[in-house]
Amino acid sequence: MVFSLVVYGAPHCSQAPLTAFRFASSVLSQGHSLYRVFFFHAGASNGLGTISDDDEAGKVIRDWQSLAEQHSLDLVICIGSAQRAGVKEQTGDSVGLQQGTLAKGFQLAGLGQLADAAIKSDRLVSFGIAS
Amino acid sequence: MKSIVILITRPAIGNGLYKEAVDTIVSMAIFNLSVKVGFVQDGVFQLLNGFTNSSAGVDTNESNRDRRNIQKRQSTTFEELKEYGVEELFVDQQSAALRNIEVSQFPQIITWADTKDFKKRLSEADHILTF
Repeated sequence: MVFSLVVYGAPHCSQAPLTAFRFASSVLSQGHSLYRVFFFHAGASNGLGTISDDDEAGKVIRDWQSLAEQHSLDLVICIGSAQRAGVKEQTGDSVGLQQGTLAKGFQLAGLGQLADAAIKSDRLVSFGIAS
Repeated sequence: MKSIVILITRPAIGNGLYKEAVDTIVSMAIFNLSVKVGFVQDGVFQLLNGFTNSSAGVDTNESNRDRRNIQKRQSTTFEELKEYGVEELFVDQQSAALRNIEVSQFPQIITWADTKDFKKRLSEADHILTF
């Protein structure tokens, strides 16, 4: 079965990202496939690469990165939510380089990716009621 | 064609979900998903005729209030979603009754669903997203 996950919660104030991570691990260990994980609303903070590893929130983000590396997961941060959460890609030109805050292994994309996940997946499971 | 029900469960004030929900609904409809939008619990307040940001006393600054009135005229926005291919807007009758809201306070475009109808719509959908 093909799953996609939607994560609404931020790692520093919600259980949702950790629960979603555990669900994702179980899905993969039982032989199902995970098409995409979409981090939405406050969940966009899961893509912050600047959160310290010493913090619980940082550990959850590292867990996601590790899982994504092992299984080539598509970890997508909603680009609109990312702007509000201060998650941005590194940009540069000949004049200067703007430091990005997007964690490695995550990518920014629009809501089309969520619609695509709904089309391609058998189950779309959301974690953390949006608040 | 996959079908999705977007459930609106929160009022438009006190959170940033209104815009996220509308953006998601439009994206899903554009990608040719069969989209229905359900209003339940405090989400029914979003559909009230004439409800604007200023009527909630959120913003006292004159220029901001005028600008936000356009952005936050929820019932009109939701009515216009039909132009994007949204199949149905339905309201949980019980949620509205518990909040002393009558049919005449909603736009004519909505469908009035009792608990049985509401459950039927949810069970028929391939996916459900909650805002």
